[in-house]
Amino acid sequence: MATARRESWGSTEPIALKEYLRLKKWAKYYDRRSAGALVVLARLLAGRQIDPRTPIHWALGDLEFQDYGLETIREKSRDEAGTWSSERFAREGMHSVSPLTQFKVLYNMPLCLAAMELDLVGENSVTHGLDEGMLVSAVATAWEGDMILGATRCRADGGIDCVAALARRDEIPLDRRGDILEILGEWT
Amino acid sequence: MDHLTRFRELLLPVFSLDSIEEIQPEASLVADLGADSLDFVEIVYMVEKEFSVKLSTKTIYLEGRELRTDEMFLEGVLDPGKVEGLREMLPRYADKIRPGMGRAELFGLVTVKDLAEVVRQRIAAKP
Amino acid sequence: MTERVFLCGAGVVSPIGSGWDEFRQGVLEGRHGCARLTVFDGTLLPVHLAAEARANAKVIPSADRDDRKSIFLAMAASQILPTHRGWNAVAPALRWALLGGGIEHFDLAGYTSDPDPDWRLYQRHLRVAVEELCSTYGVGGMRSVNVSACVGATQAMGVAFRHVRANPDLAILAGGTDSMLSPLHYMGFHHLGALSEWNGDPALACRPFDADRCGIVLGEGAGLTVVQSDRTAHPSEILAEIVGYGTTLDAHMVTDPDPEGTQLARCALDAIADAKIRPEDVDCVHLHGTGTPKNEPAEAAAMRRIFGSRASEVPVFSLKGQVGHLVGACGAVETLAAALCLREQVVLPTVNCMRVDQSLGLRVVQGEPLAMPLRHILKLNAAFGGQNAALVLRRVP
Repeated sequence: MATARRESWGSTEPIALKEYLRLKKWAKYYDRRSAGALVVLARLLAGRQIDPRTPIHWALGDLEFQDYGLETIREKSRDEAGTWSSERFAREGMHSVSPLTQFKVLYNMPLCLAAMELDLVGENSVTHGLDEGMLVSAVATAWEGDMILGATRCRADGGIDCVAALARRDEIPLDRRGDILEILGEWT
Repeated sequence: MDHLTRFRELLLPVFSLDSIEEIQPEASLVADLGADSLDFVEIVYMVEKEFSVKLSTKTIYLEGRELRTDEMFLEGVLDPGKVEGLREMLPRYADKIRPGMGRAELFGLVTVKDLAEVVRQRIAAKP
Repeated sequence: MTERVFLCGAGVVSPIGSGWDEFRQGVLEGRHGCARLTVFDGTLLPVHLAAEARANAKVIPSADRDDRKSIFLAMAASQILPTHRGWNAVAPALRWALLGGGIEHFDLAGYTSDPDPDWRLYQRHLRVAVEELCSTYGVGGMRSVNVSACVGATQAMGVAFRHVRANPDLAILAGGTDSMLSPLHYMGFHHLGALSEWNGDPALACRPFDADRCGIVLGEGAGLTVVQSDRTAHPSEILAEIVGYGTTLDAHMVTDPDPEGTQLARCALDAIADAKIRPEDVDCVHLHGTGTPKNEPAEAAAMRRIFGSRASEVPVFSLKGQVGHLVGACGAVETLAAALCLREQVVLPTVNCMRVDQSLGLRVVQGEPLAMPLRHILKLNAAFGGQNAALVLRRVP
């Protein structure tokens, strides 16, 4: 029987990421999207025996640039008239944010980080868009057992909603349309 | 605060550590602290931001010396012709330097103190 | 008996040309797509190399605000779909679109010059272009945008293949589009230390399998094909048969591929098993071949796991020496190149591999193209973060 877990965090509410990390050092690669994904998944899988080849598919909503130092880049890439300067960007703007930022903007990081933490090596995909589109990748499998389906939404205020589910291929409703968090959430 | 302590504090977030006691001066960045290639990229960024000193991820910093890796390696291993010169230049590491060692092995020798020393020298050399 | 599944027709926008004819000619003649960056002013950046998408030998123009990958998607679709006989014979409800794509375009120049900016107004979403495409070309079925970084398009094509195999009435537009050639994303890749800092001729900057390889050159473009079964495909449009798909995760490290290539090999072996063939039936491998110090050894290790003692005999190829790294679209454009090589029965020399890194133990063709009978090509891609994807293509005589 399919099962799911939902978690939400408010805009400034801490996410208990470090409880689920084997190596503390890896915390720096996580933004709130990735942290939420790992926590909801780790809680769903707690106490279960999971085959490492279990497929995992994840859907993500729009990227929230504003958390990643965009305003700092802007300040350091303007000329005296307040307009864009390629020269200032090259000299100052581009050096004003941490190189780790690139990890945080890549859509596949929540899935890859969770896979590293939970030793998952199976079929996988990352879909952009919080509609039913991600189900297409999940059902295209010969895997007979449970697989992991998850979704993360970043709200405009910085809040995070996550769902993680375990379901077999024949339980996935490919004919459903709508919000993927609602579709997966029905298994909670 | 002395330079070395300030440098150790700078490294805390790179390794997600809480206390500089966990970053001993003699610790190897790779072998003891588990630094990977991206950690070096991050350290270069933090050093530039904090000290306005530009380091390079393609340089190995040992005993205050700067060793350009592109000049020392042939087909990925240490040029045998450079071994003696390196041993003289780096007496503390003489017994660890051997022909045929890889780039990563040489990177593995770099300690917190080595890196801090290069940064100190660069700051001192500023006009 | 299950139906066969084919790649039918091609729409392509790439650094070595757009449209099947220009692309085909560019691939076969070893045309160079890497050059100095021109689509935005990068002269003062520490590195300013790029493989910019071209049509009729000219870089495709755009403004700062434009999302180049959305432009490429529309261009590629207009090349393939209006006249596609197989696609247009299928009812809209049975037409799907499964595409790989990259992260949002962000108009940093516009945002920076705005005295009171709302950052959302400077973001461009690919899904808007995908929705437009679906409405223009009557896609009435499922659609999705796969953002699995460098395997996004490969996975999209593999998933399309699996669906058509299960439901032979479907026609699925599959492939991908991407461009990271904007200040913000270019900066990100530079920060990762991933970009080639080649000092010489920019055309030589991306050097897959070469002893002096030193990093990726960001490319851009789009590749589209229609995945159909022999129930709906038009014979004149068939490029190749697609027979196997596999995907795995390294679960190794955030920054580096697993140097042992364990899961990359398993994904290839899964695709080979999916195709109901054996490793010895694979005649040539089109590798990910990014031209970075760490990618190629990991791929070489995977080759040994897949082929055993044959690993040094099976000829390999990477298109990236010519077109750079198309990130979310690389699997699409490279798979079209693989289909082309099957049709031409040729293994091409990997451009810019001048002195093969002997430690890899790979058979890289140099100089002249190697004409040989090719029945199956294995296509591999691997993403930053550890996602792997593999396709097996079969020649259609």
